Amino acid sequence: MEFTVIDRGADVAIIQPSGRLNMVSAGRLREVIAEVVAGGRTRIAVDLAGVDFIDSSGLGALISGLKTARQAGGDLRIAAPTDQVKLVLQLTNMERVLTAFDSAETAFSND
Amino acid sequence: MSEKVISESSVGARALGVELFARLGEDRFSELCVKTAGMLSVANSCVALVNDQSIWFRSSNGVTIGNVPREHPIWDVAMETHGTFVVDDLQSDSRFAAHPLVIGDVGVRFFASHVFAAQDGRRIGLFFVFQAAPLKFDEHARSSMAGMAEWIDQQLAAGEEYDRAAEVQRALHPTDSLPVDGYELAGMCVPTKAVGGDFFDWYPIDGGIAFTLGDVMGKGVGAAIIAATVRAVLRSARRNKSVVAAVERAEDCLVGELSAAGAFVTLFHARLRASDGRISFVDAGHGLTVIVNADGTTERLATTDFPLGTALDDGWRRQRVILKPGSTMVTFSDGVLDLYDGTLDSVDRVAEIARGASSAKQIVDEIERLARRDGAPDDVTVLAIRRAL
Repeated sequence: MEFTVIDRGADVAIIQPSGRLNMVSAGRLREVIAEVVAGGRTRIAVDLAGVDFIDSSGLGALISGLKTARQAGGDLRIAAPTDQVKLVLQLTNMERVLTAFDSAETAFSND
Repeated sequence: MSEKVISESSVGARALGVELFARLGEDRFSELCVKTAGMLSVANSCVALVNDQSIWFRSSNGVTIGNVPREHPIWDVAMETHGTFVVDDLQSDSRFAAHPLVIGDVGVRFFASHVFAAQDGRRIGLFFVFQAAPLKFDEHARSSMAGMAEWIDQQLAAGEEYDRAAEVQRALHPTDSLPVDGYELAGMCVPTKAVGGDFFDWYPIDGGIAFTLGDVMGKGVGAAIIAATVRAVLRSARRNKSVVAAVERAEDCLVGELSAAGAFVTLFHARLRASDGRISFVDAGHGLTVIVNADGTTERLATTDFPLGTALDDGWRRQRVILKPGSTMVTFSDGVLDLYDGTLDSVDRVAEIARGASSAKQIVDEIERLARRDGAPDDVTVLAIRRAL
């Protein structure tokens, strides 16, 4: 799995994973989020448009990233989840904390 | 009598070896064979399972894979040798010189082998190298052979440990049908690997039954250890009437480990009061429980509570529902969704099965059949409880 990181403004970063967010790639996503937050960009938009499958490990990485961002005074939001990702978020009730936005570009634009 | 025992034991050993090769993938053995042969400058290398009657070649470099009868005396000597067995030139060894393989077209001259064994000490196979030209095998080459055999031993041991872990996990699932008048319970778990993070449980409580279905993030042994812990902690709260207290206890025991690993557990934990069918439950991010009533109507039990281990400090709320006479509750893991179209419509499919079934066991059996038929990509676990009309 590839992770593209795009900087937006002073403290926002868009992270774009692609492919399957599972046990293999989840650890890497956690590391990428931690690096970006440590680098001062504490508001993270994870663009899930290119993620066609997420399992519980992938969800765990998003929750862990959310906590990392919040501890640094920021937030983590997700954008453009596919139906499968939406279902996982719905079943686990994690949609209550991982709010889905239509696009990563607008995830922090109204703050 | 003794002959029978020996032959049974070697059949068992071979089954063990076959399963092991299948699990680890022959590619790894083949690759190692090629590397070892190259390192030793020997033309051919092979891993074979050996029993009383035959030699079964499983992975090889430059050797046709197949099954040959155990006729040549070299196999007996090789299997009985402790350590590395080497014959620099078979033609100059009277025990083997006259054999067709040595004097015939194949013309094998050099042979070296090392036995590998199961954990209980049974010798089940050979790693061996051979070629058509004689070879002087030095100490370094002998120790390389021993190293390869040791690696195979370790792989075998790991495989056996894994099988034992699976046995232990299966034993943790309840098999007794609880003698609670007017209710029947059934459950099953089909893990994708030998062990997994799904589990189900039930046990008697004062005036009824407690039951649980959990799904630990991840697969394999790590998830299975956490699953066993969650099960144990929930059981430890059986005398506490509060379902929330049980779930909080599990969270308190595991949140540190789960949070550090970025892992979590989804859970449905309930206590049934037998006298009136009242079910008190906590749904921790599980979301896959449905009640099918005698009149065919269905109700999906969903809440807004988080899984265990998110450390989001949100807490859990007790919910209540009445299981009416003739009604069935089915709770299942998300692996069931993959048996259908992967969406929440799968809940309706499960409800249809429940509607058409005449017992809790029939529901569970039908989903198990689908899981085994389709080779489910995720662990599939189901628990059904039915109240008599």
